[in-house]
Amino acid sequence: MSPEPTTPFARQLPTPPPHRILAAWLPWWPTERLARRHPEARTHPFVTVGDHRGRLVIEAANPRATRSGLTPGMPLADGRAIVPGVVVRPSDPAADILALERLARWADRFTPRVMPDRADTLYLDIAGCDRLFGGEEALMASLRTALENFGLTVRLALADTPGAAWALAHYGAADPAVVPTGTGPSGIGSALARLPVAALRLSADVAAALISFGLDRICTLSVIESVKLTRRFGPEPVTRLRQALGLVPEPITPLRPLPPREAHRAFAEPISTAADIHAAVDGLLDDLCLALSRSGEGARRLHLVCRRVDGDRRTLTVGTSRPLSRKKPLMGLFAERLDQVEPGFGIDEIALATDVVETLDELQTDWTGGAAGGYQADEEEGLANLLDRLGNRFGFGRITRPAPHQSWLPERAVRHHALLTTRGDGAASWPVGRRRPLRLFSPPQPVEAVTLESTGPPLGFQRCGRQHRVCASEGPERMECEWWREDAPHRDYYLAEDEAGRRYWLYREGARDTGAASRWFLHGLFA
Amino acid sequence: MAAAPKTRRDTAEALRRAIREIEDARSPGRPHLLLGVPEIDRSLPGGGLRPGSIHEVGGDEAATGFCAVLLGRAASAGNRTGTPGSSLLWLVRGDDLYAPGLVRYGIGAGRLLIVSGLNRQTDMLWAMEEALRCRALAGVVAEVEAIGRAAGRRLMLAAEGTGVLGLVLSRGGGRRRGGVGVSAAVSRWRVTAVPGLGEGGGGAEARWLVQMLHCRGGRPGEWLVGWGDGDWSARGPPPAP
Repeated sequence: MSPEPTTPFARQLPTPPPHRILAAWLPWWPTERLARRHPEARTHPFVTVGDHRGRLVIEAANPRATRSGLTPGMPLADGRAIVPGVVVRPSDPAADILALERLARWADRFTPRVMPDRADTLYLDIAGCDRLFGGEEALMASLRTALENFGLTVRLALADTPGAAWALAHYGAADPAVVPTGTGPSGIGSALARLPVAALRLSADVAAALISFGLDRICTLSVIESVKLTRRFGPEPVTRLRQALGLVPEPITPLRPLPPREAHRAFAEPISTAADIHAAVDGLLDDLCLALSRSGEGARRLHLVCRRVDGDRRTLTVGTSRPLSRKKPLMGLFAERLDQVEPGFGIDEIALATDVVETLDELQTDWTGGAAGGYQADEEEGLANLLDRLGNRFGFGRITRPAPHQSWLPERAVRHHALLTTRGDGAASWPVGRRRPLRLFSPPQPVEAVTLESTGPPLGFQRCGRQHRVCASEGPERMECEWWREDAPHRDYYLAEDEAGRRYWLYREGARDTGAASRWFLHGLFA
Repeated sequence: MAAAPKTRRDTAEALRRAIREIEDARSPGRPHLLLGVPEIDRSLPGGGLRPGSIHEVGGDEAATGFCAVLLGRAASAGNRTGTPGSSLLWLVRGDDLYAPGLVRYGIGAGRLLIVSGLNRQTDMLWAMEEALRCRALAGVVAEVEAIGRAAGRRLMLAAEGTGVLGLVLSRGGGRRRGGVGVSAAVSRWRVTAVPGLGEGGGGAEARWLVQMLHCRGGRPGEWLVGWGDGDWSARGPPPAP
């Protein structure tokens, strides 16, 4: 009997999840965007112009202007000669892109994976989302209706790759053009075969060069060997073709990083009472906590986004000091702040997302659901809950756990650790035998001090206009900076007690041998 | 069998004891906090500070030290008796509390949490109430100027449920309230520094004049106390004013 030849590489690699890219091309985006504010852009010939080397040149034209013969790239003077009544606005490419980004954020109601591209196209990866809308056709129809209600013209195409979707949206005959899923490169290739080469998102000069050789359709490119094509025209046509066919992966980068976990509820009737909102958040937390505990994770930060009827949205962000996947403490954190949600005329959608998750160390629980392990586990839990509440009200940056840090300078000897990271600098510890004040001024307050000799202890000092006579003092304690900080002079610290018994921590800075006037500072107060 | 002669003094003492038992029952689980100076402890009802209650400390900078001592004692008492709660919380108005200085008062790194920059009185009181409801803490210090009767009552109720020691440290002289006033605190103290560095062996210790202005069920008094390395003791009678 012969053993089966097994190699570790024979293992099946997990297939990446399929993508389903919906490209939405907005052919008149710059002018239709302005039409929301300038209605004449819809009813009159309308162009936007930019300054090109001192000449005003048309950059975008609306359909009416285009029908009259005005095209982008034409000098405005020529355009005015053709259509004297043309309405002109300055172009603003940056605003176009920003507005498209806003539109992409709006489109996250169809899928969380939305990416704006090239100032006039949106990619939506709707894999898995179409079922919520009743299929791909229904999703496309509802996207089209929504965009048309905004006054936008849109061409849609759906394919497995962004390249194919882009090509079909811009140059396809059908609208919406759909390449069925799972057809592979051959299916995409046949759908793209009759399209011009410009549909491959080539730069203008490469496309022009290809056309000048008679390679004007995508199907003509696939006849030629890719090596020859690359040698003649550079890598771009081959890369773009392979991307469109899905032979080379082309990831789309969602505008919004994917929240690892999300739950949302839409309401048939807008809700506005506090009790309703509370109940909705309660239900959302149920969903989210279930998802989190299944994957063994806990949330560190949660966002509650309430979309209001008037289009406004309210966001509540809550942080936790340790990963949490149980509902009760999370609900407690939200419950305190739900009154900050102003429902206005009502809320028609609430989403709860967590964008920072960490792996959860499971706690063993006893039969009542409480933490097992006696009061210590209880205590940690109680402390963490307290810190969560304090942190969400005052900011987690305000809560610190001081720990020793290795430095000679008093103000650097404390490292304020963030919450619950108890492991400090293991080697460092505070000097045990030395006296340190209870209050430390930062920065040290300059004072006028009187000494008998230039290196002696202070006999008195003046602070805030009041004279303090030093009755007793202890010191000096010499403190030097670390050698790699050469700039700072050394300090001689004295513990000085005035006639009332108050005790101060004074130091004289520098001036050991130089004879320069030494400066005195008050650095802290003892009890 | 003749009953013990009932004098008015005995009756009063019995009543006091009964009241103390009722009050103790409200903060279960934690023993009274010994200050460590027998003279002072004797003046306190139950032989120590009652846990699960609010105490006001005023005075000059020495009051901060006094609070640190009490906080350190509360933490170590929790450790010794095995009752829950060993973390400490200090609510600081500014950000000038210096943790290395607290080590000498028995508050080591790792068990202290500091919330700084609580400038508003409402924030401070809210944070203190939240903290007093947390069983995981041994003690809380809040640097509040003065607390009103209603706020103090709220804090007392919060503390009674958990047995956490609550200290209200009023900085800024403590002279303003003049020792008498309306407060829900169980005891009120005024701690001021006394010259002492030059005297004694080595001059290593601080001297404080500890005045107990008011204590429910206790006998007010004043003591001169010396704080040395990790311990303190009474240093004779207070100086004549």
